[in-house]
Amino acid sequence: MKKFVVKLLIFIALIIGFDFILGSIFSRFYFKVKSGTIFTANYAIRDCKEDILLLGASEISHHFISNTIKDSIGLSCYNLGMDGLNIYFQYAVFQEIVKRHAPKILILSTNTLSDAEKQSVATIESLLPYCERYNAIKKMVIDADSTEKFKLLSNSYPYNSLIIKIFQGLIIKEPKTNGYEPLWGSGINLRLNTNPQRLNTTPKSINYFSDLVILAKKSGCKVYIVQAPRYQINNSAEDQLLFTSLSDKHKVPFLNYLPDTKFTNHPEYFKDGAHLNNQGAEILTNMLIADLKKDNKLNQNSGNDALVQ
Amino acid sequence: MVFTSFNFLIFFPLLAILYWVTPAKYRWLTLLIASYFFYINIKPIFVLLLAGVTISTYLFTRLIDGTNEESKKKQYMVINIVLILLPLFFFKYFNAINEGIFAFLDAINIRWPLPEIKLLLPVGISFYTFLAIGYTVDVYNEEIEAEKNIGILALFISFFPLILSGPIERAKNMLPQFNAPKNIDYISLSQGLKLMLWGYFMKLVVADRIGMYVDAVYGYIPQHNGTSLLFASFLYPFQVYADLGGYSLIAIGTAKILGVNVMQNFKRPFFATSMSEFWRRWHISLISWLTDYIYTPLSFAFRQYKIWGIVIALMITFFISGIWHGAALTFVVWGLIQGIFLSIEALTNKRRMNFENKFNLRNRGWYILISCSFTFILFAASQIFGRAANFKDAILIYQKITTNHGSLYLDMTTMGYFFVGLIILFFKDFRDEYFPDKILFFENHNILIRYGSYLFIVFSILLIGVLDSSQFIYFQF
Amino acid sequence: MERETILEKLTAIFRNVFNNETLILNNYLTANDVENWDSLSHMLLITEIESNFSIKFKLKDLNKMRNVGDMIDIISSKL
Repeated sequence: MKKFVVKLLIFIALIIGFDFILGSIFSRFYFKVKSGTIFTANYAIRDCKEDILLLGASEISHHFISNTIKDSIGLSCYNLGMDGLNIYFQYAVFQEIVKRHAPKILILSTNTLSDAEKQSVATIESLLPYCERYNAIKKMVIDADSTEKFKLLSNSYPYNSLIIKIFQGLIIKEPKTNGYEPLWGSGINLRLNTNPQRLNTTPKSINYFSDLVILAKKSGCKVYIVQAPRYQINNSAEDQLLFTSLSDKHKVPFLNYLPDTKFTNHPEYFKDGAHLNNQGAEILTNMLIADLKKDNKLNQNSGNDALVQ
Repeated sequence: MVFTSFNFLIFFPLLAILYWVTPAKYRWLTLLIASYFFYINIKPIFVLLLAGVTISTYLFTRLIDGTNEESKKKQYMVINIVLILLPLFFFKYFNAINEGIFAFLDAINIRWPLPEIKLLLPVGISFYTFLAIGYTVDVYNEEIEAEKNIGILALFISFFPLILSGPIERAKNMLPQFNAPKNIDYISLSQGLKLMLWGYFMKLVVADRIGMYVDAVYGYIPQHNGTSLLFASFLYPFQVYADLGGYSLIAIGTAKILGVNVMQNFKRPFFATSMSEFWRRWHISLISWLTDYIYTPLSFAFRQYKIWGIVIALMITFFISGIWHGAALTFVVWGLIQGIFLSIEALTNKRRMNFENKFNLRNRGWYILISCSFTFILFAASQIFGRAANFKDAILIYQKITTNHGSLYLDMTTMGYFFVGLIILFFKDFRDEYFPDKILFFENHNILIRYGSYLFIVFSILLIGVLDSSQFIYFQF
Repeated sequence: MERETILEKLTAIFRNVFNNETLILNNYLTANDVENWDSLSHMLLITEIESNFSIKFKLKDLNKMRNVGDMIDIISSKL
């Protein structure tokens, strides 16, 4: 019996040892990734220095062409949109960004307010590899799920289900689109859903969103809230109220592209009900550029720094 | 508290230590308290129901043993069975029966709208009801004496490793073990841990990963083509096997660590060469319960009809198996399909045997392979009814599979991971089936190979297992 | 009837039901030992025995039949 206990303890020690080694190996490869969402997240947290940053989920990543924005406005731009991730990611990452660099313009998507459970779980998962090195991120993760405090004791646990993604990210090179991910083709099975869809917000997500805006403004960023178009789906009345009230509360412009007729009757610009294809993205990007220029020209008159030549 | 939850990983080691520290005479009490604690953490209010079923069963089985009159014994047995079936019927079948009655009333144009009652199914009710019924019948049949210690009976009915999803055990096997606990021995501990480890592997690495793909296809049937639906339907039996089979291993391993031996629930079912054999390898505890308490009495009652008596008994038994899984048309159809398969095999048995013996087919590798494949296809086809959300969907899936082809829906990451898991699982079962003493890993004499295998599986779970807590398919039973 | 005779008659019945002319019975034989003896064929076996020996079993008797030896005991008690 005693022999058994000894063997068990040795085995546990082996697990701890291998866990540490594997975790370190994975960590090393993780931060060397050259493309994909892991690269975007790494870039955002570690390296990004662009003047215009866009934060949100797929309604950002597939919709705003960074290079076009840069060429037109003359400021560097990076699209930090990450599919399927919500406020926990955006706020945690922004806290780390702002420690070393404050962008001049920050574009925030309304979808960032979503706290749908599955989405939030996936978001927390995506933050795990950063907990070791970045404190603000670790705090956010533990706040979202307190059991993570114990799970993070394991070095290799953060890399669960990432092996293939890391491998893909190491061998594929990133196209130089500065975060923009084009979608091609147009969806044939567009679901015609005229019922307004409610965003799954919670008091927590709304608070974090506000905290993000406050932090951004404090750091000197010009913040814009953006609502991306969807095919023939409208905001529910509650959501619309929420967005406009947040915009008023923090005195940041709310750019609502949802009801714009440029999109409501044009299925050819949509890849699916919630996402534009590259064609649609070009149009939307130009609309954003126009709004940014217009807004900053007004500011020029009141004596703020001219952002536009 | 599900087996894969974080809380269980804390609860169980503490309980195991507490258990072995308790003097043998009181260990059953430790387990009883632990089982009720376990159950309360899932849904406190339903503990009352669990206790109620226990008290009723205790009283009536004591009454059965207390009288010598055959008719009185029968009465007590029947009353208890009816009493404990009532809550099961109410919770499980209330809505279905309600809707059935409404549909009927609608058809004859009478409708009295009643408030819709949202009923949550008491966890484990399908399992512990069967435990209690089986025990009552066993006492009546004099297979076992009525347990005098209500605490031991309460433990049998609520035993936490088994209460959520089985295996469905028998009083004859469990009561003596609870009454006379063994001394701690490291072999049982070691075996129990290995069973748990492999169970977690099956559940987290194979079942839940396949589940992600199957859910993605079955959840959006109109958007997927027949090819993807076919592939998902092909994968689904593996998911269920890894899920329920893995879960059963965790349950068995957990019990073993506590010094209790629980029956095997799965025996490499995909190596069965006929549906009859399949049902001796799949969900063994359930089938064996149904055989002993439903099929045997029925086939005995109908034995004058010879082979047709068997067919009737089979159809009724599998009809019950179907509705036990769920109160829906799809489950009924699923059950009846199994009954039909087995009936056909029973009817053609002699002819098949003659054919096989004539050409010595049973010893040919290719014949075994064809038989296994055919059996698998039959089961997978029937499982479309098990997985589809409703009858209409199931028919739609069949339609699409036969007519609507296209390119397969691919999700490289998910498929990559479950492919690895399936290969490992397949290899282990293949070895266990055909050469159980060779190419050992967990049982290898060499300590490096043993420990290496354990570590490999532990890190497979940690790195490619699906770790955000998901529920077992059989959980809402 | 003597146990030997019962065993003889049973052997003939078993060989017929399970289609195996070489089957040999002993007291400890169980369903695990005979190919094709399962719950599906068990009832066929039972009815053959009942008609052959002109007896009627009770359900309780079935539960007590763990092996061929038990079977012979129960048959003999009904003759």
